[in-house]
Amino acid sequence: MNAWLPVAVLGTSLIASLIIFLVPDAKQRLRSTLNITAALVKIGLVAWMVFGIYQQELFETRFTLVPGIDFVLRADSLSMLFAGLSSVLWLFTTIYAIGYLEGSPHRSRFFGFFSLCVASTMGISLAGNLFTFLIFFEMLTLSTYPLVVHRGTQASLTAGRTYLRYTLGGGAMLLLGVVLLYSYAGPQVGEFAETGTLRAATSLDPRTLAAIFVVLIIGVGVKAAFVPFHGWLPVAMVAPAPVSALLHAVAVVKAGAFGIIRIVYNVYGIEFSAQIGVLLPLGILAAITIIWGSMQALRQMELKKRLAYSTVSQVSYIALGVALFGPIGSIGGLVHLLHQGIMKVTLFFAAGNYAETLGIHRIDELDGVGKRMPGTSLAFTIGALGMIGLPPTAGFISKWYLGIGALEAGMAWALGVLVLSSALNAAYFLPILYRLWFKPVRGAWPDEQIPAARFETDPWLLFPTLATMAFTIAAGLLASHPWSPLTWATLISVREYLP
Amino acid sequence: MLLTIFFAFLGACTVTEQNARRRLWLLIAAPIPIGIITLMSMISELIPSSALHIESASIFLGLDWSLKPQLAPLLLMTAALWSFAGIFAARDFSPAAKTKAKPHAARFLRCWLLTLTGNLGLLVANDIASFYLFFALMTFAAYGLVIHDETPSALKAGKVYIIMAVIGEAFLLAGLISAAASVGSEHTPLLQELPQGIVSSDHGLSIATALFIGFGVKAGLAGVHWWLPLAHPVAPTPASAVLSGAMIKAGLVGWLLTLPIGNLSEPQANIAPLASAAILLGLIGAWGAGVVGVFSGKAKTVLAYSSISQMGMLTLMLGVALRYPDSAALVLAAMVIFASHHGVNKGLLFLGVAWRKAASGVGLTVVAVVLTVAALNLIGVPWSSGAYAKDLFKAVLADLPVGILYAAFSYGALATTALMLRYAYLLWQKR
Repeated sequence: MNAWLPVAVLGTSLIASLIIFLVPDAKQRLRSTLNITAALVKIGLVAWMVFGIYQQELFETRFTLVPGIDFVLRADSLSMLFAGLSSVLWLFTTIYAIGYLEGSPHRSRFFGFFSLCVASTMGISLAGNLFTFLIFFEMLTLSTYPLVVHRGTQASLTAGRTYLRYTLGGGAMLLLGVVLLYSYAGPQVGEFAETGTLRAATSLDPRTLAAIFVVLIIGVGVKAAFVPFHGWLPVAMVAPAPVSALLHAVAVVKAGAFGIIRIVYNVYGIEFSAQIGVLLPLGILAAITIIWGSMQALRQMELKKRLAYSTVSQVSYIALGVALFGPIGSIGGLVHLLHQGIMKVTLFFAAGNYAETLGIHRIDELDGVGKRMPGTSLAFTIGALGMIGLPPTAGFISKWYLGIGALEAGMAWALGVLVLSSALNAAYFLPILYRLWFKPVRGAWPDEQIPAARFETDPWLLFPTLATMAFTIAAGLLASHPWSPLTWATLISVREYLP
Repeated sequence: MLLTIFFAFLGACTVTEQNARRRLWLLIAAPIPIGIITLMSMISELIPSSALHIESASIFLGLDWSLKPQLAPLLLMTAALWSFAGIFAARDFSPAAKTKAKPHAARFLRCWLLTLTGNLGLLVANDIASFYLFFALMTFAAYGLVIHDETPSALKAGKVYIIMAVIGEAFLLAGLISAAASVGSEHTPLLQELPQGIVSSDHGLSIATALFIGFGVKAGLAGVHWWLPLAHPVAPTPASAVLSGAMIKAGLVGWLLTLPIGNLSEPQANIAPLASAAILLGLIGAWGAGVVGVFSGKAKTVLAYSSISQMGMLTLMLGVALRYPDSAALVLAAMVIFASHHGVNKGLLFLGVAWRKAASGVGLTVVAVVLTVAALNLIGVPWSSGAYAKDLFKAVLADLPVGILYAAFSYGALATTALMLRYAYLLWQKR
């Protein structure tokens, strides 16, 4: 049974995806039932595995493709962090997408690729070696492209091209890195293992390994939207809101960040990475991205663009946490993988609600929306406070651990980066909150689609937003609870640093 | 029992656009439960101390709240002032008011109650996350009070207020994180463990300075004070009263809880420059605000400068406490009394501005008497609360080798006197 569980987790979305492709567009109810059932089944399976891993059980599927190269799906504590995030957020994003796309054409195509995208994400999280990781990483690129260009407009096709150019380029770099590593150090180092596999390989030249590290990090860094490889992310925001949520919070940028974690912790190993001196450059790159992303976000007047640049900045917190040598910093980086996900998904849901309900896309159109859409605006407020890093939201917990981690790693400048980033986040989020809650309504809404009835908007749009908002608060408020993201991240960190 | 601070928060949750003007009683009632509990804990041992302590390992990074005896006078003052100011606020928004009721009742009510929750909460919090939460809640919710009237000057003051607040929060975050890291314990430290961490750290001075500035923004510390004369006067008068009377003390409380005051296991030589800076900045604030304040043309602005001046005296006392650990316990007690006395009297003086407009005939005489007493208290004439608070400190100061500091502090009363005369003139001249 244990050998089949990882495959089953992957299979739920893969099979759902294939069936959904075959469902006619008009059969809304059938498709939605399929979608939501698959999401629930997957959450159940992931929960089962999480529970098993607590009790040190092993879940692994392995078969050999060619001698020396295995296809491995394995559930360890780190993969559960990502799989847990994706499976829970998939459920909410699916519900949201059902409400969002109601009545629009090509829904079966959309939901088919949507499921495929989540299947790839599951594959990435469960991949047990670099080779398997690479396969799903590429599959993710290909399955998200149809989602980005879903609307078929000129703008979205252009964005799709930019997206492909960047991500395929990144994929090629990753492929190059994997090939170099496999041929230089042998395929066994590609196996993901706690504390890394390269540590034992003392006979290898550290400088060559550091060079390969750079190639690998650039490969995954495109998806993680490191400056200067971030260009695709703000462009891709022309996609429908659920897709943006998926790109920013669950799948694509997270896959990149997760790749960095895998490479540093499970291939090179944190201690070996520190030895060959690649952590400091990684930290500096992350710091530049954090500050630069925030500065750009300040300049955007389009709501989704501002959120996009905010993602550029926030995802690099994860990389910064990885680069801080020491268990506390690692906890901060790992937990932010989850925290950034739930906070950003909340913000994108809210932005989507504004667009769908009132036709609002620009920040200066948000005046007085708080009275018309209080639930959505409250969710946006909580998400924004989380990004700034104020308690009781999840963002505070991330920032706290990253800050302490920076000092323990002897990198006090990183604390300065975090504090400056908080101030910049306040500078670009607080004016929005001011408009929402304090400014009077300017007149008619740009394009009111859904009139205020019992709820401020379609409940399919409202409730997922409120649910992720609740998660944002719960993850911060109950941070020390045994089943919180923080506790899980602590578990991973402890296993990485104990020899 | 400490959960009664959430009375205000829960109240805020029930306010809607429709019922706001029927929920005005919350303005008055919200702080009363915690006030009664504090009072009972002060005058008797009726309440077991276990009932005044909340702990929960799974909330935040370990939640810990308690009613601290040394801060109890401040908590009582805070609750009382908020409740009393609430009477005035409720009148402003009441549909039965003689003058036109103010608009945006729901918004004001929510902001008021949230700010109140923050102000009460930070006085009971022991863990860093809760404290930071309440401090931030108070700071950001108070924005809504500052800009409530939405006049151009209020909006401008609000902008300056929020920018300074964010800068303050940034210093605070840096200070709290690095102080917590300096403790170096397995668990996340509580606030009371921070001072020890700071003195044992190599970077103790920079950590303490970050906290000093971060809290100083709220406390009207000279140099980062200039948002205060803009923001305090433009708020609706009851809000000005709590801003200048109660909330300004949050910065002081932050100092008292986190800075290394008193005898710790290691000599706090590393923060000696900070102690000197605090004394100097305190003097500048106490005297400078008096000089600048008398030239302003609005009664409420004069009071705001007077707050800076009074906080300057408290900053000076903080400096002395930091400099002379042996006397710290006495200075600390004097500071809490001084802060509570200032809160009550400054609150009254602010409310007097509204009172004065409304009263006539015999009422006017009563107002005049009450305000005169409050002003004399603030100046510290013999037999007043001000004299009591200041004498506590002067008794300590007399035994210390501080040179002209004793005189400089004592004659700070001159600045207060000048400001109070100016206030009286501005208030009575408008007839």
